[in-house]
Amino acid sequence: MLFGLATQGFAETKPLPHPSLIPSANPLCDSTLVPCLDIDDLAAHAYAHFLVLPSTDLRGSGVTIPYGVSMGLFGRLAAGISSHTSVWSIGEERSYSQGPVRFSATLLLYPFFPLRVRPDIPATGEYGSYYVPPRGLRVGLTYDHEWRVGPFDGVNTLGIATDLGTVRLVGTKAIGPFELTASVGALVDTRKQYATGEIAAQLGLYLPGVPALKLSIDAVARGVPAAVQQDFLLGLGDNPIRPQGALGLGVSYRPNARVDFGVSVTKGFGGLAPVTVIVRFLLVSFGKSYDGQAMTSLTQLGTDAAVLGVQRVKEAVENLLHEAASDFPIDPKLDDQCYIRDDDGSIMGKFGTRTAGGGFCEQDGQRVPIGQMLYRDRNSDRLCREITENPTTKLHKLRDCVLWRKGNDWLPAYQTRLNNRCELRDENGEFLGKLGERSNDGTQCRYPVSRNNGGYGTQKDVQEQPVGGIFYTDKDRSTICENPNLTRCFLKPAGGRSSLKLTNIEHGAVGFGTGIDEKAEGATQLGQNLKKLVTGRVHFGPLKEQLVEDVTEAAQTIRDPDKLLEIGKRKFNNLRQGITNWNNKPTGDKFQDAGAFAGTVAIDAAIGAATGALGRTSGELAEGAEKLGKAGKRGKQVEEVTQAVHTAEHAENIHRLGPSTKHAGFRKNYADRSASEIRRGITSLEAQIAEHEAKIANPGKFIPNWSSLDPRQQQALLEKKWPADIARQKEQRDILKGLLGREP
Amino acid sequence: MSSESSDQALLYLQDLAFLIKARATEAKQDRESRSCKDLAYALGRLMAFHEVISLMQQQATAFGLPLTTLGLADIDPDRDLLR
Repeated sequence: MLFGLATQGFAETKPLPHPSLIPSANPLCDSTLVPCLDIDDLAAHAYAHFLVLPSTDLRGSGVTIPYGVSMGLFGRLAAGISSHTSVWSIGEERSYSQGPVRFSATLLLYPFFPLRVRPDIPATGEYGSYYVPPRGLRVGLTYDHEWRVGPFDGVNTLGIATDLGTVRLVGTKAIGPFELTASVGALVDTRKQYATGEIAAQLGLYLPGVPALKLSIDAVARGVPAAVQQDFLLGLGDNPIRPQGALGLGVSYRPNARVDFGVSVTKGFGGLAPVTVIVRFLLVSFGKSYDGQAMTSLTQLGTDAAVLGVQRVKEAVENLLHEAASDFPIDPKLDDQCYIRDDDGSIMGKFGTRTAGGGFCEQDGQRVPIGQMLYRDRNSDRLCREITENPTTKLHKLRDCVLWRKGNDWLPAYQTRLNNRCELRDENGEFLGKLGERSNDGTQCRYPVSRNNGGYGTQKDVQEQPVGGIFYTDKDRSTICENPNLTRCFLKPAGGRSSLKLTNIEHGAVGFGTGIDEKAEGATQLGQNLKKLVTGRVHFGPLKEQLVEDVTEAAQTIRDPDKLLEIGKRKFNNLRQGITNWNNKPTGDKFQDAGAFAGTVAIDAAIGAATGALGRTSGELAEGAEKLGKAGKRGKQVEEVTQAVHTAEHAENIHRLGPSTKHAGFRKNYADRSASEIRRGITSLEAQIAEHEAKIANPGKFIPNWSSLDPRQQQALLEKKWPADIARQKEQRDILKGLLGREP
Repeated sequence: MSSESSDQALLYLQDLAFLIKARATEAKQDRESRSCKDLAYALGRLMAFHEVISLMQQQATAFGLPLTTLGLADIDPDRDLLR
């Protein structure tokens, strides 16, 4: 009715010269030329698109507006009713036409199961949510029936004034960031007076970095073959069904399954509009997938566009022009037999053997998860978990590599990481070396190097590596390099040593040296004592006593007893926190830190240096030795501080430290139990370990609806939770085994 | 630990288990709710409860504690919380 009012004064209806093809009635399809198989679980839509038609030699400029309603059910069936109206000009005359009513249906045939296909939840990326198309092959049928009835009496899509049925077989498959859709169909007059064929295809690219944006190229050809009844042919002229085609280029924005915004341009041939610009944004949706976001208004579009920003799109295009993430083939992964299979199923090589639990392939102590998708470089020399972009050069490079190829062999990549203290540590957390100091902006570790300056000696220079950087070493930790194949190496052990690893005694000595410079004598003895501490043969008692002694000694130099008490408590709290942190560190670090701690205690204990170490750390006043001569006063202070330290709940707090450390409660729980009880505990834990390994190997056996879980859930269980469960249970089992083997 | 403290700890654990199970059930309902506006967050929250309850059960088993004592026997996180 509104359109009738709007078209008052227009010339009588007649066919639009150089018409455009009408887009699919399914607003989840982003192509003008190719139908799609995207269907909602339960949702309905009302939409209108705008097809702008520049002038041609047969008419002036015009516009065609398709509009309709549609709904999707169970991800398998979509149905809709629609029509379209066109207005255009020829000279001063304005004309319009009303297209027939179009009934449309789409049925997803394959995959057969599950019968109810629940679309994936939109993923969330750097720029908001985005639609994730199903990755497997999908096949379906679409049917469009154009019915000329009442005022909807315009010509059909072939430009003929009859009803028309169109059936198409559609297939679609996502490959990496690409999506290919193809269809073959037949356009048949409902009175069987004529028929013709049609083929169409679309290649889409979900833009790397902004996956809600999809670029696509479309093409359609029809009119060949064609069959027309002789009588009907005579009524239409010499060749009423001629070959036609169109090419299209489009971009669509899909934060959800539907197309929130799309623009495409098509170039038509054989009597179709030479150029058509299709704009789609007017869409109202109802359904559980669109709660809270029913309308894709221009305001919403404006907000989204602002968020994305011109710069973002520009960057994305620049990325494409450079070495883009899509240039790195994805999907190589280890199969159950530990063969490395590329995306096309071809075998790239083999790595290790499958672990007993079945979740990993292992070689030389390095494990790589089975089934985890990886990236490879063009030469297939490396397999890595990430791709990163250099913000300056925009070039992409592989990061977090797990395997590299040497000849025909795939070898594990032994990783090291540079932490924010500029320490290089291997995957076990072992300290391998310190790489200078952090830069002023905190992003780099800068370290001095000497360069051979020809015949003029050496030249001092500074190099840097990024904090958080991943580097690579070998099994023996003999070097550290930028690449997994051990090229561009920058750190080697000094002094003829073969490994960067430190022995435990060395760790203790290093820590001791940190605490008191140049006083390493006795470090070996200290290391041996610390070894006893770490291995549990002695406990914190001696350190606690040392603390009491140190503070008591320090008290002799401090005039104010309250300040002494404060110092004593603070030192104790520092000790407590230090022990807690210390217990969570790798064994080597414990030696190192314990050495440093002991050194610090030694400093504090040295009254002569109290104005240095103690004064610097506490900010308290210290008195000179000349004021310590009053034995009575000193004795009173010592007594007060000794009492303070003892009454500061030190002993109880230290006792409490046990449960705050990993498995301390577990150890204590079993400490006094009989051997048979401990053996039962070991058996129970090993059963749990076996169960978790079996879960990783065959999750569907344990999780009833495993195949329908969100892929992120599956990944979290396979790669994080269950492996962490196994690791914890193995630690507990080993504790129990240690208790069984303890000395009586 | 005194006997009184042990009793308190047990009561605390029983109530805590009850509360966590209730929260987990709510998280599951949120995840399945039609009105849920952030399904990814709801899924993450549900997975967190799955991990917590699973860990509590495994630790109880490792300590030789019957799940019934802690009120954790009536929930199977793999069955009840993975959707």
